[in-house]
Amino acid sequence: MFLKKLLRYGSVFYKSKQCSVKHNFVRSIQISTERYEENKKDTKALVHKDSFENIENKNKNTYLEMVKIFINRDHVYRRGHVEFIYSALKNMEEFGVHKDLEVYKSLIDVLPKGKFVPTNIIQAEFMHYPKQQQCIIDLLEQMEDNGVMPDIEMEPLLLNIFGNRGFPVRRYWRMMYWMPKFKNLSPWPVPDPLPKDTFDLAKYAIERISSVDVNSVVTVYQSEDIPESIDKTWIVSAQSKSQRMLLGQHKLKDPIYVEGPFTIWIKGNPINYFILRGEPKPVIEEDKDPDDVSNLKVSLFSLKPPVAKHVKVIPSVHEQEDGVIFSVCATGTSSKDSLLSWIRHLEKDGFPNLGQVPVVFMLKSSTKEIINLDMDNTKEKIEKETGKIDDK
Amino acid sequence: MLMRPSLNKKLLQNKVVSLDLIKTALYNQQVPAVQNAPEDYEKQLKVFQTLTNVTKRTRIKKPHKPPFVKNFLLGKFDTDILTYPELNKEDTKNLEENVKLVKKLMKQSHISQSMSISKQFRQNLSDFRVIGLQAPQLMDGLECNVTESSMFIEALSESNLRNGIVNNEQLGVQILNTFANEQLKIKYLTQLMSGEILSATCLTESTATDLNSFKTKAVLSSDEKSWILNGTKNFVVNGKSADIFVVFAVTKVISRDIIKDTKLTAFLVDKDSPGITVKDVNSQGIEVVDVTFNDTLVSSENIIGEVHNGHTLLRSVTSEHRLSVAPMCITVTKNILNNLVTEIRNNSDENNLLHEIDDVRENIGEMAASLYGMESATYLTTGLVDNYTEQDIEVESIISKVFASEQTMNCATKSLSMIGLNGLLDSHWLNPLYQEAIRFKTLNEPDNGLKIILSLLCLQHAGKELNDLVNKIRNPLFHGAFNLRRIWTNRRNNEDNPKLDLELGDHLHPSLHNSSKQLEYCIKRLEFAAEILLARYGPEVLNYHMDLKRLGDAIIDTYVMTACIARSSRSYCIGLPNAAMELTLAMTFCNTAVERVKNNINKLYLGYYHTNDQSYRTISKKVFKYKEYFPSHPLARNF
Repeated sequence: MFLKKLLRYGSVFYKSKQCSVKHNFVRSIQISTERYEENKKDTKALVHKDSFENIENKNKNTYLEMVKIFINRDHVYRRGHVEFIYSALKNMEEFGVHKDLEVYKSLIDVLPKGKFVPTNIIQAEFMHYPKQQQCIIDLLEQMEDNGVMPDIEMEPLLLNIFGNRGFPVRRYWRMMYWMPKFKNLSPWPVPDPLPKDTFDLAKYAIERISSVDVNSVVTVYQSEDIPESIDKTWIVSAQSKSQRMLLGQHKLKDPIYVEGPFTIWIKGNPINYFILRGEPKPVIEEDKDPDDVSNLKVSLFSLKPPVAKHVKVIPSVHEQEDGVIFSVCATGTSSKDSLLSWIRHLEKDGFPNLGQVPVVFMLKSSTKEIINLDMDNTKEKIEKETGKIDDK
Repeated sequence: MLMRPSLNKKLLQNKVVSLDLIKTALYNQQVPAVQNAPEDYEKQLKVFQTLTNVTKRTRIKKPHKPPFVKNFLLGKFDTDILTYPELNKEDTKNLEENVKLVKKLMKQSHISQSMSISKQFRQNLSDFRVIGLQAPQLMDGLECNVTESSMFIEALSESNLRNGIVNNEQLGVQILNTFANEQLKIKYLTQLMSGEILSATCLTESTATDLNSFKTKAVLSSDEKSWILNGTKNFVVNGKSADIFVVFAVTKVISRDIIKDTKLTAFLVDKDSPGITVKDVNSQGIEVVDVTFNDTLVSSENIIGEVHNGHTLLRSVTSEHRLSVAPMCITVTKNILNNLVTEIRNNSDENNLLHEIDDVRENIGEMAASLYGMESATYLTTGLVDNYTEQDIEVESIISKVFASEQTMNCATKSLSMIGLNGLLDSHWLNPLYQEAIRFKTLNEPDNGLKIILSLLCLQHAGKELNDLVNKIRNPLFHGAFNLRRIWTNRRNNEDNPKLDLELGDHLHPSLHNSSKQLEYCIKRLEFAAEILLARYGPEVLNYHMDLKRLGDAIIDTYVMTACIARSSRSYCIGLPNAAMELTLAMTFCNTAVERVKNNINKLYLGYYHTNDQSYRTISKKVFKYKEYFPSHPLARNF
């Protein structure tokens, strides 16, 4: 217990030792112990919590206003930082500022400069002002969880508060090492900030799925162009050259399936998508000696660099074990009608025979909204509807 | 003797000069039933003239030899090839005289300034009998062998229309000459040779990758007397001025599983036939068009050779056609070099003697050495065709074409960098030659693909013999003792220090001892490379183009080294003018070539993780994923 106290108030002793020439040693101890006792009784945290929660108009401006009020309240001795910061952190999401770097910086700025800087090696290594340090570490962690990357200006701020041995500073440095590296690691980057429109999100989602084939083309259809359609919405559809070829080769008597909705996440937003699937093709194993070089097939005349020819078809990426995927799409309403419009658009778009192919709709829980966050709705009704599309 | 009265030629047009007629004329002295008396007289006169001009040319070919370059990969070297081929004394004398005359003709202003292969132009050539060089003398041809015709092509290439002339000669005329029946020959070949008409060969399609992917199709009509032709052929040289097209069209498709084999047939199509549209492709200095056939009717009589026999036909023609690019390149490079020398002399003054500058000397020296290599390789290859029966020159002809066109391009760029921007002006001599160099590299078949094909053809040959060895190397657990032993026996190869025991120097002048050792080194390394490639990739080797190109480069260098050494040794031994300098040229070439071979084979040995190959693959994958160049701007910031 003594050791803990010594560590916490060591600096006071140390400082007072330094200035003992000018001041009375006993007096400075008295003051600091007084303050210690005073802090102990402090119950302001509750007040802060209330003050954040009581605000009606919750936005960035009022949030920053709150911080300003806290700073300006006590001119000489600012107290209860830690509690204030914790309660501020807790309420961030309600104010919609949890992804705002400026707000985090203003919160850090609440702490006094120079007071928490350790002055000897023991203080530095044994967490000088642990509550305050832990508080800022938690703040940085919340930043990290929310994907907010600190900037260069934060470094002098933290240095001024905790000195260059402070744990928050070290955490900041680690964050500045890793976060820029992770920031651009996604193979399917989306713009930041993300557009709110579900249409744009659906486009990103479909582009992401279809990137499996370099030659994929994303097309946007409007269901209004189909006169019989009920839902007037957009359809984002993707198909590659080889998928078009596969669909073209599809036999008319075999059914094709519209399946979905499946979910793909675009930065926290779930998007529903559907696939157009055919029956899987039988897997053909090529019986070829992998060591036989006695009979290389070379054409004497070749306009492009020759590649090894295979006797059997090598399945493309679209031909999977559970089916051949002809196309993917996302529609504005995810309704059966919009999917029907999709099929009709494909029919118009180079597959005139699609009308004669039986199309089976295998939809899990028909959803109206593209964003479906309702996780409680666990029982998914599998709706199977079989029917031939024939021109009405 | 060579000049023929043009009058006769004109009278002869559309007339029959068949062998039968000649026989009747010889033995019976009977006049065939012809209505017009004076014309008939002319015809007879003509026949006699042709007959008096016929000189018996007996060419005895030596027995068939195994393919020369392909055997490199098995470590075999046929030392007979080190005797550089030559023509006999009389032939050489005749040839030199005739070529001199043709060269003189090509320098005349009305020929050199001609912008297209007009009728006038063709008839001028025909007067010198240089259309249909390899046609028999009874058809009024010169009955040249490949060596001689190459020399003529070299002379003809003085004209800017060289590509058109050679295309007509090597494809149109040669196809008719070798494969057409008597009727077609009488109907078209005589006219072609007299310059009355011009041929264009429609083979390539821009979407096609090889011979099996052509889309132009011919279907037998219902009365089975004619064929209906449909499709588009791209990059047809001479397409605009041509009067007849030789068209290769798919007539039969044989599918086995997913592999589709097509059978091609060569048709002779009149340009006036209905349904043919010719679309001009904008290209400088050469007449290239796209030809579209839309339900064009072609009579069955117009099939060249047999039905479904297009592949065989092409196979025999392509080698010589590829080979014919080399003499064109030789002339172009020679012109570049000679003009450059003149330009440098003109530009230097007393204060600044350009021709004594080290940089200029380096460039000129390099150009001369590569030109020497080109010439040697070309005539060594023609010698192979002419001297041995049914010699396989698939690879050799590709090498001659690729090496010659690459070096021409090299020389053109080098002289461009020496001359500066002036060289690209329309009025400058270099501009058309530079354009031509680009065309050599790209027209018909791009060099890049050819290089891969050439190394594949060699590997195919080697694979037959190395199959057992490769099988053992690829299955070390089944052949443990063998593979352990191989570590020891192959150690010198692995250390890049093969044992040179071919004793090639015994067949060469002693001053070339050093170069002969370098050549031996190259052969040994090629043998090693074939083993590595086949063992590492197995039958999938076809897909590893980066290594195949390295092997291709090494094979090219080795063959050209052989040619240079053989030629300079011959020249030195028989004391040709400047023979000593030829030795230097050959040695210079060998020194640089052996370095390239060493480098290429070492990279092959190291494999794709120690070279950049794997990185190129990943980078390219990424580029295609993003569909563009992906790195962010050098000044971009992340935070």
